[in-house]
This record gives sequence, structure tokens and C-alpha cells, in this order.
Amino acid sequence: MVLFPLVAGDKYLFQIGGDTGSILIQTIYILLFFVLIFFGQRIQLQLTLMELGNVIGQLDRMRKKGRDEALNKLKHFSKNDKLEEIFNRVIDSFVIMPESMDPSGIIRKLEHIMDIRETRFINDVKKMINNEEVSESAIKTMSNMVEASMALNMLYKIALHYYLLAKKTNSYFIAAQLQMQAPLILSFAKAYLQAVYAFRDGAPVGDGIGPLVVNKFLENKEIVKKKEEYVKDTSLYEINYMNRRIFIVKAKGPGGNVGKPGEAIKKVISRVKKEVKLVIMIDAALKLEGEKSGSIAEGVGAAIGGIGVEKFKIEEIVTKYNIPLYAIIIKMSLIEAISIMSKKIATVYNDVISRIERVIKEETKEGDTIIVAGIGNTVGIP
Amino acid sequence: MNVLNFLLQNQGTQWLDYLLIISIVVAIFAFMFSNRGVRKAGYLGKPPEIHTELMCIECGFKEIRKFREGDYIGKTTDEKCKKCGAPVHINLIYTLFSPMEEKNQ
Repeated sequence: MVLFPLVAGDKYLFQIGGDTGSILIQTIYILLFFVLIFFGQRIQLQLTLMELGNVIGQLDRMRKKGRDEALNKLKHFSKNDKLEEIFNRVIDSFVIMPESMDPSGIIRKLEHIMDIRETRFINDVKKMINNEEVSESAIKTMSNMVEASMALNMLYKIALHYYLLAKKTNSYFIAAQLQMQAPLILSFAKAYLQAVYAFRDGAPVGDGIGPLVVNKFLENKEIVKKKEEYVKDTSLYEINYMNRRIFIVKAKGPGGNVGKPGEAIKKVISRVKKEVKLVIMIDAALKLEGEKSGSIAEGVGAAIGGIGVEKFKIEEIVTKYNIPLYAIIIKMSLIEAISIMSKKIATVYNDVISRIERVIKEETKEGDTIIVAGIGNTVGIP
Repeated sequence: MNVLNFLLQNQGTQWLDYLLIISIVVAIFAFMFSNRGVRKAGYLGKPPEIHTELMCIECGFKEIRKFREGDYIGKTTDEKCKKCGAPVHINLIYTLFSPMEEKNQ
């Protein structure tokens, strides 16, 4: 009886009827056939769980590394013996989003909740440090670092949850779902670990390209008016350039901060009303695979991320006064956006400034009022 | 094919069975060790080297040094321009490669 149809001369491979060895191997094949039929999925599950175990291990190491880096930085400034206790409490804290079944007024509720969260978070970091010599901007940068460490912790906890659930229920499909997401989860974790390093050092991150551009735009120009805290954590500058009145909005640096640019734009427009002829927003945006990091694109609309509160405010006010809203974005990957700014991204500011000037020239007349907003985190950028 | 025919005619098929078993054992070990490698190495994302680009306020001469804690863009430092001796300010702070590029270096 020939099971394997490979014929070489008058000899058969894997044949029964030969010596004992061949009979043994043939029996193993038949047994293996039935084992794979009945236990194939179980074997697949074990192999998947083994692979996921490695992913969980990597996430755990990244989480611990992020936590250690954050704690060491805090310890360097801290005068509080209970630092670790507060850190552990903060790292497990959560936010409950407002109910959206009746969406009317949800933006206001969301903003309120996020404001409370931010205030509490900053106060907790202050408690951890308990050192009045540490500047407000350093505290904000450190709070960003703790947030990145929190994100790493959360990723690990979610991945572990599905891993253990798959193990507990012996469900290959739960394991497969996690396996499919694993490369993305790992890349997010890598990005957050890089963010911990960036905020630990207080160096600019890729997301800071918006504030960097407006900071460079302001260079060598006479500032007519400057308000460091125009609205919470947001600065406003007024310049006369190209015979136009230009308001510059950006988060207050050089601490890690995104400010409230939406609120600032709303306040400026509400004050000068129809005088504003154009709003230009500059922000970092996620690139698609295949697109070059640092490439620039122009469009219309509110170029701003986050949970949507600031975006809503900008869209609402420009719609109310019928003001054109232009966006210039600088493309980068997620990992580049939250890790230390690379040279490729940092050096595009000149091109972006040329585009801002071109848009101003093309879309407005002399004597017009314009708002230019640099959106992003101001860590390392004043 | 000639080599195979030669082996089959002179050595029988027994060696093929052993070759198969050895291959399976080697594949299992390779799989186990490859996973162990991943587990051992992990990814701790070493912190990148940060550079601070200084620019002379007077002559625009640029100089690059390692990042120091407290550096921020626009800060006027205590350093002097190596060309004209005027004060310098921090023009840019960056890493030469993004984390993804560094991986491919």
C-alpha cells in the first residue's frame, strides 16, 4: 500500500510492507492526521498564546521601563516620601466620559470633565514633587511624562485582559483577535515609551512642529502685543506683517502643554468679529504608510486633534462669522509625533512659513486681520 | 534527480525517514529558540541621542552640540559664537533619526 506517490525506480518512499521503521513512521503519520483533525485548533491556540505571551512580556517590560524612567525623574525633584504611593494611585486613575445618548450640550460637559481631570492630574504631580522650587512648566512636562507612562500601563492591562480571557475560555478566536492587533499595540507601546523619554528630557516632540513654526514665524518681527496667558495655558501675540494685522495663537511653552487654542481663537474672533478675514492652522498630522515624514500638505478645516472640544469651538466660531479656515499639516507617524522631534521634521519650518506667507498674500488684502494658530505640544518650545 | 536515484538504489529509503525526523526535531527547536530570542531581546527603545543646534545672534553661524537638560528652542545660552564671539541662542533641538529610521540604520 503506497501512501506517498513518490516513485524512484522500483523503490517507494514511506511505504508499508517494508521494515519495522517504516511501519512505525506510517503509524505516526496516521495518528498525527487524527490528532490534527480533533486537536488542530487547540494546538493553534497554544501556538498563538505562546506568541501572545511574548507580546505581553514585551509590553510588560516597556511598561516597567516607562514607569521606572518616570519615577526616577520625579524622585530627582521630589521632596515627598509618599511619591511612589501617589504615583501608583495616579497611574490607575480613570475618566468617565459623559453620557452621549442625548448629545445636546455634550461638548460643554466633556470640556468640564477634561478640565477637572487636568487640574486634578497637575495637582497630583505637584503633590508627588512637593517642591516649590520646581517651575510650573517643568511640572507640566513631568505630568505629560506620567501620562505617557499611564498609557503604557493601560495598553499592557488591556492586552493582558484579552490574553488571559483567551486562556481561560480556551477560545482561539479571542486569541486570534489579539494576535491580529498585536503589531499595532506594540507600535503604540513603542511610541509611548519614546514619549516618556522625550518628556523626561524636556526636548521638543514631533507634535510640537505647529508651535515651532509659529515661534519661528515670530522671530525677528516686532511684537505689537503679547499676552502669555490669553486663555488657560495659551499665549497670544499680535504683529503687523505684510501690512496686515496678524494674531498668533499657540500653547504656552516651554513646558509640555497643548493649551486651549480653540478657546483663544474664539475669544479673538468674538473680540474683533468680522475683521478677521482668514484663520490658518498649522498642525502635525498622521501620515499614511508610504508618505514621507515631514512632507507638507494644505487643505481646509480645523487642523487640530484631541477629543474634539477645541475643534468644535473653532468650527462653530468661523462658521458664525463666515471666516475661511485653512490648514497646513506636516505629516509624520504616531511614533514620530510623540517622540523627540527628528531633524527631518524640525527643518521643514521654513517651507511651512513660506506657505503661510503665500496663503496670506493670495487670500487676504492689505489691512486685513488674520489668525495663525500653531497647534501641538510645546515641550521644549517657548 | 540522478543523485536521488543513486541514493535510492544504493542506500534504500530508510535515510529519508531519518532525515524527515531530524528535520522535524530541528524545526521544533528552531521555533522554540526563535521565540525565546524575541522574549529575551524585547524592546526597551533606547533613548535617542539629542542634538542642540546653536545659532549666533549676530552672524548666524551654526554649531551643534549634545542636548543639555534645560535647553529649549529660542533660549539664549551662556555660550559664545566660535566665529564672532557674540551670544548664541538655541535654534533647533532634534534627533538625527526618528526612532523608526534608527532601527533601520
